[in-house]
Amino acid sequence: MSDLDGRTIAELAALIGSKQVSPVEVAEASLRKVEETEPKLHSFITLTADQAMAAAKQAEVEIAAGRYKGPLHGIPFVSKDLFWTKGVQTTSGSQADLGFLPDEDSTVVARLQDAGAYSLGKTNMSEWAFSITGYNSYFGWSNNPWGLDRMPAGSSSGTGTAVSGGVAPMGLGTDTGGSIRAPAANCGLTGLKPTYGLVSRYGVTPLSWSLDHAGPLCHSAEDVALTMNVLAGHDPRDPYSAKREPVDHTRGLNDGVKGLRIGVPTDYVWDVMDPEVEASVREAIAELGRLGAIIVDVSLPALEWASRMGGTLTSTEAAAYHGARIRRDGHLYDQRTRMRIESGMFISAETYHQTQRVRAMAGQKLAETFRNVDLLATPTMPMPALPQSVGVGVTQVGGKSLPSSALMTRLTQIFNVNGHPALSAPCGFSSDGLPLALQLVGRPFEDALVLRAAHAYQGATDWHARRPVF
Amino acid sequence: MTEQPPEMSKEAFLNMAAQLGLEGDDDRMQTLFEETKGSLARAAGVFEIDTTGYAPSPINPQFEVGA
Repeated sequence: MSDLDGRTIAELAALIGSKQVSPVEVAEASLRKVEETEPKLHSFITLTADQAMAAAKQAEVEIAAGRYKGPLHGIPFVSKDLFWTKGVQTTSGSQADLGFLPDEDSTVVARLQDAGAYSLGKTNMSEWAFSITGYNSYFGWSNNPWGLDRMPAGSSSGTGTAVSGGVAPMGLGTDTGGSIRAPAANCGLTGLKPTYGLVSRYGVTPLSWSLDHAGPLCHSAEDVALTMNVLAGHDPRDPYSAKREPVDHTRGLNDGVKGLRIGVPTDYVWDVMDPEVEASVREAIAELGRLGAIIVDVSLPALEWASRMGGTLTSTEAAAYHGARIRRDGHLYDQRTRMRIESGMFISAETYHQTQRVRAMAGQKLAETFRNVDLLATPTMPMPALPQSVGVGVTQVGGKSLPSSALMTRLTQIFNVNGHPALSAPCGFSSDGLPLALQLVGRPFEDALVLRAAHAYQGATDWHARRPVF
Repeated sequence: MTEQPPEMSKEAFLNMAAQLGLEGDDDRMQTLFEETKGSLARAAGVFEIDTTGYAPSPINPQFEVGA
């Protein structure tokens, strides 16, 4: 145990920037933490300790020479194993891609490295990012530090467990139906699914082109903002990358929520809900009200449509990406994942386009709602982390029985379908010590406002500052 | 509202699977048939929503994207 374990980027940057701690000391502490926690957490598929130490030494030389690059200089991170890393195995969680060595870095990994951050390794994930539970039949479970027999949630499972377990203050994930926010919620982290198009997906193995988002999982909204300042920006190599002027996501972070209108959906969201989650999220919303936000009820039936759209969009787009490969190497895929992808081949063009019509309508309904509010607030998930033993089976929440995956994406997927920025932040604990989470959603490209509200909430509470003992 | 497509029969499924190049033993194809029927049933839910006046949009039209 080191006094650097579990520190935030902001804390480490202050120590590194003032030369109280060297990047090498941070790297050594991180790698000791990996050694200590990995037998319990199984966060990593590939550890790159030697490269990490070399990068930390380089950062130390640069900083000693007065070439400090900013708050990410000398900061370790982890990345989900579908972010391409030059010369480092990138499996996308599949046995089929064992030994794949990309010849270049994904844009986001390159940006982090240019900012002076360095990777500790590649983290476990659901195969091809196609499961919200986080289970991987080839690499096994990553275990949730808040309850080792509980789901970390996925598909960015190993990123969630590694950051929560204290080995690095930041990790990269992707989110197609909730795969950043669900692990953030289950593992007690702050995770942002940015606006669609804000963060490049170049060099990120796709699951569903129109739903995939890349983003960070950290301990705090402030750290997410610091990371977004590096990750966000136009990338001509991602055809859906937005052409927008760079935004400083830390500017205005301390401006609070006074006068902001925060909408709380009255329908659908609360129909299937664990009472402890509801109580903690309603208290979090009340806290935002005490901080000066104006809390208003909103009716948003479009939330319910996500469950009818998400499966079609994901499986058809995954089928388009994997089609040729799955015919050749299908035996190397997890057989359940394989069939979920193959089933997408049977969905008709008529159904796909009707789904896209519903998507257009849902987008308009959301836009209408956001004319009257600045943010939406909901729980991230209807229940705390489920036992791993539930798997993809049916479970009961709030007196209703639903498959675990439908429960876990119930409140997150709509914001993938329509691309709004959505953040998950810790807002309490269940009676058995599991993290509970609030979701804040903003207008497209108002990610900074989402972060500002989360930062205000985290300034008034300490849920995000708690660390698991395991 | 638009009429939902009819439920797929096992025979139609096997014919289409063959055209798609999907192969396997009887157990695998039966499991894939069940998975496919489930996917199609869930997907058909979009036909219950009145989308009159809306054209398909692959991304949110309010977004400014493109290289």
